[in-house]
Amino acid sequence: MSELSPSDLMQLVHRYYPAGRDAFEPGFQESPEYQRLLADRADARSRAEASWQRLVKEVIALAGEANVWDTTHPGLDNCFKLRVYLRPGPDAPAVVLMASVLTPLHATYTVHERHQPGNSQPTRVERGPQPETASLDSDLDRMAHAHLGTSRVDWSLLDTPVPDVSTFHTSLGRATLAQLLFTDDLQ
Amino acid sequence: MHAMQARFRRIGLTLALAACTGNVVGAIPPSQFQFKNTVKLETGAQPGGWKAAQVIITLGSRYGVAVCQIEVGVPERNRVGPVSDIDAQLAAAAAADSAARVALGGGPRFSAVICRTFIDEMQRRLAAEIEGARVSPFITAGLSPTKWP
Repeated sequence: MSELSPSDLMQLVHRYYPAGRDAFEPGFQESPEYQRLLADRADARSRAEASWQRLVKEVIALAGEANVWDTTHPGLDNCFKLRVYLRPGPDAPAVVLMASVLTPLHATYTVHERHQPGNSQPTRVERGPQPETASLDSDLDRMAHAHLGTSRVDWSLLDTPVPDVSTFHTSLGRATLAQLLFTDDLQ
Repeated sequence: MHAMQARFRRIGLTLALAACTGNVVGAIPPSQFQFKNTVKLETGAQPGGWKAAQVIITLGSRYGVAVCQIEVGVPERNRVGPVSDIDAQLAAAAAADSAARVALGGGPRFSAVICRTFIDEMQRRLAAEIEGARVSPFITAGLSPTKWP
């Protein structure tokens, strides 16, 4: 990612989130910014849907149907999102690919889930390179670029604070570019 | 007029429960979460599909009342297996009860803060039980919200 600067991305997200307003305040969802987000997000998603489905099919061919989960939530997230498990079994790590529909960027992270009976520990999220998932991560990066035309964005940029806007799961003062360009459910 | 009386009854009940139990509302019945399929589950072993339920929940404490519109979504199938409606209802109700205790446990707060805390906490707890679950304000058209209490 070299064409878009942090200030470009800050400007972009401010087109879609009203400054200084909490997402739970009355009128937030009716604001021009949020209405613009819904419209642009739906348009962009419909344009990219076929490409996304082709990407998902290629990933299924690579990883196996049971290990691939399209967790895209069109009503909540600003991205397509795919969870790809390294292998079957409850202890398998997964690589999550997120491709923004607001800007041609994608990002990945690795999750170690702990969904086992009697285990209430939260999912562990690793943003940096992980030896175990590096190959899968690289495949997903390549596929995203090939099918969607997106480029990988570094987490150092995605962690840029955007303190004057809010989402349903991020209060004022806590938002970052990651939550605004992709999703506020980074698990 | 009847609608207003009903609203006052609901608020009164919530406040009464809050007064009795120390800032905690009564248990929300699982049946309040009427899940409706919104994304069809494809055939095969792949996790996917989606169903959602909406509830208008009144959270009351000695400090006041917050009316939160919440939408709960769960996959039709996750990596563990199919997510039945009853499993989703039971998990959602348990998560809502726990989240209410957290949301109302912080003393006097604006209703927007109470609703945000409730939704955050409910998502955290529900996603720990049902992988992939999401909780938010209303975002899906065409669902039929229930009211509690």
